[in-house]
Amino acid sequence: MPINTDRSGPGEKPLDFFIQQAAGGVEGAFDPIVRTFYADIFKMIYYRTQSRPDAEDIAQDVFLQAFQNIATLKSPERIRGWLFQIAVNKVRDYYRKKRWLKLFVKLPEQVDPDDPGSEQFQAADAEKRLQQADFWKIFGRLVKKLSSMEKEVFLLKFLDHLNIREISQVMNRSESTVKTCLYRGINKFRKEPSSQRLFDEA
Amino acid sequence: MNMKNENHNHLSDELILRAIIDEADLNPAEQFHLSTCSICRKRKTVMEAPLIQLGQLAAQHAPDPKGYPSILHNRPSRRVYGWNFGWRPALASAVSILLIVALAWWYDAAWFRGTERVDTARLEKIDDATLMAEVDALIDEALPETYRYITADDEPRLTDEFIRFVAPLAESDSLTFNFRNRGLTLWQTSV
Repeated sequence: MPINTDRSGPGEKPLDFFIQQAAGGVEGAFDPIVRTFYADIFKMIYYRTQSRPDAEDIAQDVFLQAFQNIATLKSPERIRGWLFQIAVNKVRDYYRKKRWLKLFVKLPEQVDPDDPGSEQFQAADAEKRLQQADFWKIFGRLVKKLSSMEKEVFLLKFLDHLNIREISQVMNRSESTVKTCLYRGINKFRKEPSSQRLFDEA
Repeated sequence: MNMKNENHNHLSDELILRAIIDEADLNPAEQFHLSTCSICRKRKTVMEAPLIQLGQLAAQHAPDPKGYPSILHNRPSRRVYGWNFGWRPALASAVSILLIVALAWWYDAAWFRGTERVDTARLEKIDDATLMAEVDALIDEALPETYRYITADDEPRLTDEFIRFVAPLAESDSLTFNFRNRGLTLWQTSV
């Protein structure tokens, strides 16, 4: 998906305008940016954490950091890659902290506070939840076969729909390195038997 | 490009993969072939389909966000990695440590004793007389008891006189004495 900075905010103004306004410290100028990219960033984080509350927390952190540093953004058309770059780093931090704290602290179970807790609701939603859990389980097994770099590039390309230039910006690597990792990742994905199972079950 | 020509110049799987990643990576001839050859285009579509489908499935199985975050009004975030104390790991660690200490105590492990400090001050205060008595005893009875039996040091009948009788000194043995003297005489005579 190409960078689309023509996505208009409220009042049909181009996004570039709001980016410049936000960089200049205009109050409320950041809101259209959040509305434009929040869903993409939230899903990107969810793909990597498979937890809604964590995805919400991290996405909020991403936009908070973006809000504080928007003046450092070199050109408005790079905003999508820039936000994804912040998100990738935040996800890395999250896993680093989690791995470290796991040694000392018992982490609570993943609970979605917004979901109704009634048994009726859970029974009605059980099949969908089961399917989701199965999908992410197989998906997790699948991407485990890739190296960390291959995995990140693969996810950015096929799940987050970033183009090669954006991925290279996010990963801070050359385009040829990104392509090589992508090539290896796709090959591994195609050879992995669980990839077929993923589609069969879907 | 006719059909015959198409069949002979189909792109390899590797080139199709490269085209999936970025068509611009193919050389102009390969790009032209891909754009005109229906078979290669179909192969590309078939190879690309699972990857596109994966993206679609992931999007289907991910929830949509509920609203937008209020950036300027920081809501208290639900930190899954907060400092809530885990009693189970703590209890398990404490029990393990207690078990190790108890085992070391029970078996009086060598490493446990090895950690005791040497009291040098106490060693310096050992009575000199006691030390000398120990040294004297060692001089008198230098050999262990087994060897003392062999040497018969404790046998009262083995007096010096008896020993001299059994093994006389060279000077007091007439045969040896005479032989030595004779030898000397012979030598002196020959010289």
